[in-house]
Amino acid sequence: MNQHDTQLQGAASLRIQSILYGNTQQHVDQSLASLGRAVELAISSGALSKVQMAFGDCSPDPVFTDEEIEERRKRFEAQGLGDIQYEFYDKNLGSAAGHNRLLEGLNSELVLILNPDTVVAPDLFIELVKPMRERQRVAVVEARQVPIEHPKDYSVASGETGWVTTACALVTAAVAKEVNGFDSESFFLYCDDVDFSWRIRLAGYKLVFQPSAVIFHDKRLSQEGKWIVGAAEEYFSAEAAMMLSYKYSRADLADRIERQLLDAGSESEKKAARKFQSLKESGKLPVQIDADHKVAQFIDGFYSKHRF
Amino acid sequence: MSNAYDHPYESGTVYSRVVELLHVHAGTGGVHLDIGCGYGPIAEPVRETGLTYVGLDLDGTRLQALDERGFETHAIDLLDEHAAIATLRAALGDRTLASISMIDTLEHITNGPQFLNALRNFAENRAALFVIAVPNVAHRDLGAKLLAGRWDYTVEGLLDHTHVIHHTDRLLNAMMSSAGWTEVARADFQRQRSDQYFPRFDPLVSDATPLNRYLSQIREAADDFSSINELVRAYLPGPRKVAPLVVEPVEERPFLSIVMRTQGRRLASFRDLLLALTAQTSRDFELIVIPHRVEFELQKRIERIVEDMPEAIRNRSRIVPCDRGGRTTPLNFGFELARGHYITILDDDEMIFAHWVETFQKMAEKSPGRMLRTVAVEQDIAETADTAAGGKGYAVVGAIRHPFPGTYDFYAHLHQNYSPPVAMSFPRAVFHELGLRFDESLNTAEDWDFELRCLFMCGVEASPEITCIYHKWKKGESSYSIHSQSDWERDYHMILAKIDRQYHVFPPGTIKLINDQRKWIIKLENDIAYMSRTKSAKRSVLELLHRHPALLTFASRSNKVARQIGRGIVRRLR
Repeated sequence: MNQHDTQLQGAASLRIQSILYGNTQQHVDQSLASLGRAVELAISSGALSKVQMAFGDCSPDPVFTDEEIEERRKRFEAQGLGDIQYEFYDKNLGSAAGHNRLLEGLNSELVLILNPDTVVAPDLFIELVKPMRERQRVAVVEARQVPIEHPKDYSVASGETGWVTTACALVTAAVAKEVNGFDSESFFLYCDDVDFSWRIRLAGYKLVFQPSAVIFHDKRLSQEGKWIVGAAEEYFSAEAAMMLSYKYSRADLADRIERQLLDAGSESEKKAARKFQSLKESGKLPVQIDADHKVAQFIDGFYSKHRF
Repeated sequence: MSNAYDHPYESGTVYSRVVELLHVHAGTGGVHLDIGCGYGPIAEPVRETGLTYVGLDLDGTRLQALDERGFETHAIDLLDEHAAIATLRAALGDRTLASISMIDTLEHITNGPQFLNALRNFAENRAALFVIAVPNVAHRDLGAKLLAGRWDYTVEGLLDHTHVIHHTDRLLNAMMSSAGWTEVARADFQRQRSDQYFPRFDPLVSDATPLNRYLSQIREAADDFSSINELVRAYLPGPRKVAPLVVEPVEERPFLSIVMRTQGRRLASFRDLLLALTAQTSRDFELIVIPHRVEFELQKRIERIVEDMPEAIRNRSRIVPCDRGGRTTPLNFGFELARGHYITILDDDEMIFAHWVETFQKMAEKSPGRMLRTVAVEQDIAETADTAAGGKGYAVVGAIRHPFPGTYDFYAHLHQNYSPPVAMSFPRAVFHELGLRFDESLNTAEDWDFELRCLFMCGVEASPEITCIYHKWKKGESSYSIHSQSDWERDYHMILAKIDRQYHVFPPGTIKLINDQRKWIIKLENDIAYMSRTKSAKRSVLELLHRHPALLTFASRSNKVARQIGRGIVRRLR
């Protein structure tokens, strides 16, 4: 039984939240300028009523001073983006814990989880709220990313999808609170969005991929045409794969990944496998859910069917 | 300042061109003032048009000669422009001024701009036609000789030793428009071989040599004045325009002009591409959107999409519709409008990464003036249903492929294009200074044609960095689907034939490559000849045996007997 009505009736209030980690001001300003325009158009079209921007800064040194934030409040006020909150955490909490900390003070109807290395399309919000206005039980709407589109599958007819990436995802605030935000204990950097998505689906809500809502996510390719993966990315990604499998009642799969990584993984991956082993031995792995495998999918190392 | 030369009026000369302009554009009554008239070679023909000819010069001897032919003359010193204008006023008196001419005179005075300005004041409210003729030092003969350090002053001609300023089309245009003279007609005097066509056997000068022909090829493509000996122009009084006579070495321009042609059929991808431009790490660019042959309503939608973008992009964008020509026309149209140091083409169905502009910029800093080439990856897309942006949407339907090489092979590109335009950027000067144009007779591969011609002039700076995605339509219309294979083949051969008709500069290493390939060809020819000889010897014997069945039977039996004997010997040996 759903606890919350997610269908929007009129202009909604929104909080946009981003976790900073070593971003340059120029990068963040570029993102803010695009958000300013998108908010302006969304308010004038009646899609949104009021908007707050919240930054949580996990960087070693603050990206902004108070004066610099104040200057930006003034700069974007006319576009409806004058309410900018900024908190320097003085600690790298990770994306999931950072967002959870921001979610604590949430008092809007909607929350947009957004990566700071993104630039949004002018009609982003107008397009994102459409599924929530048109249909019931849509708790999350995910934007399409360019220049590299995520290959996970979705229904062309309804947009429904198995999980959403939180590079840019609009979430019903009440639902985000209902599922207690992200599982930051289990997921530091990766798969926090897969887990978040699956728990929302387990709670009975729908996730929708909206191709007409677009963001530019600054991803690049190596000179060989491959993803550029750093050692940290490799470590957290491997760790997350085992944690996710275990949490969603696929201990067999988690063990298999662990063995494979120990046998043939890179140094970072072996380190992740050893960490998983130690958590297992000390009984610190997450409580298992989705015993009947209603929402979790593990297909060829991915968490849903891929289109290509 | 006076014309010291006594050249008679003849048809096919500068003088006849001046008279031609007067005849067509000046009235048939009133006074014609010929400033710096010399011996007055145009006096009689001007009088024949019905005008009253008045000659003005500093040289008394020449004025006297003109007097004796029955023409009114006045002494004038152009070096004092105020006094000179006073002389003109006095000479004209109450009569109506019809026209003025100034042949081979402006290049002799140091106060040319001031005099032209004063003359413009004199012509105020008079609507008098002003015809001027000056030598053109941009004639190709002078450029070719200057390469070898020759700048030969002569008694008369293009480099008359008494000239104090050397005019080109650009300088004359600037001088006249800043003085308030608006050009109404031109009758430039052409000479393929100027008076500077010497020494005759110098390979730089002689138009029979490859060197001269290559230089002429560059010069002729650059503008219309390579073989113009004398610039002959007609003007009327007009507004004074800001036209600097002295060129600033550093030009204020954006780094990159992005020419984006659109037919408005893919507004969803067009919108995505504008978003990708918004996210560029370098914003040192301008965007020129060319809606090509689109209906007004569609154009309004294109404008609306641009208008919706953040201010930083709106302020960098221009939308300039082009309503003519095929798919190549908007490229020339857009390049003409481009202000950037470099120009690139971005089609409305492509995608770029955030460092696309920045990468071009870094490469240009490293090798200014070279054509720039990064690497594109390829991805399949397919048309989807109508979108909120208008028109069909698109969806990515395949993984990213990496088919284009990370390095640029000059010779491979002569055979086939491995570099989509989205990965290329061209120096502005090849279009605006060297006259390179897209070939509008081509319906396909126009980019490859342009790239090759640019490559020969500029060379290439290549980076293995992947900066863009070349989208291939798996479902929906593209240049691949709307043109037949025969169209592609026709254009392919046309391009190669065109390139092959011209002279080119090849990079170092070419001679070795040609020699190596010649060696390979000779070796292959020898191998083929050997194989064919071996084959033909066998074939000849077989043919002989077939022609003579008895001989074939004998040979077959002999073969059989020989084998039996052989086997017998082997058995015994065992």
